Amino acid sequence: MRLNDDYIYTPFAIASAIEPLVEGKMKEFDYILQNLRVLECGVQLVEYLMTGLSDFAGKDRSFYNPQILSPGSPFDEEAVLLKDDYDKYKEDLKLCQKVGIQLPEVVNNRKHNREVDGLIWHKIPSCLLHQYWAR
Amino acid sequence: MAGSNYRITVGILTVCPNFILDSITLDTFQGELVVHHSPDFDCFASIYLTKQLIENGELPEYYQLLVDYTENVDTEAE
Repeated sequence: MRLNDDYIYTPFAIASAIEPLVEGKMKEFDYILQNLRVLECGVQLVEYLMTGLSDFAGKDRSFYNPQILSPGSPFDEEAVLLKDDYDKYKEDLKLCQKVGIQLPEVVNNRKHNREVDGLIWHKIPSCLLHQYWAR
Repeated sequence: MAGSNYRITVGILTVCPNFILDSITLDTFQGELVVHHSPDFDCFASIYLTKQLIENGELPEYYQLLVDYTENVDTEAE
């Protein structure tokens, strides 16, 4: 899924923000309880999205409709984390080395290499979701 | 959708809802739901659909939109 700078609050992005938010709030709990909380929040997100779909019709009834997670949803905290984290990522990016990497690919049963974009971090990223943003 | 080759759990659940429905006897679900560490969108969607199957005995309206979206974001996130 391509990232759109004008709309970073996709359902998938919001879902990706749940874990770091829970980890920050539940530092004193072990990872099993943290995972359980992540799962509960994630299921609540899907319930919210599925309920929201019925408010739309035709092509607007879609998980890609930006209005499905508009401001004021129960996931505003995740949206704030995303905004802050994406800003950090853009700053981190200035210090990253952009490279092309040859990766093997199989097309029609034939192996060949394909060059893909890669990022090399020379320091620990300040953002949390660097893998998500880099995609 | 029947005949689809899904690579995600939520897709498999919709093709084979009996994985869950067959575990419901006398209105009671007897089973254990296991997800991986750091649950992701596919886990969230799978548990949601499982709850729907247990509570209502059928998949919810618009479930195919959920499956298609999950398939798209999950496989591209690999």
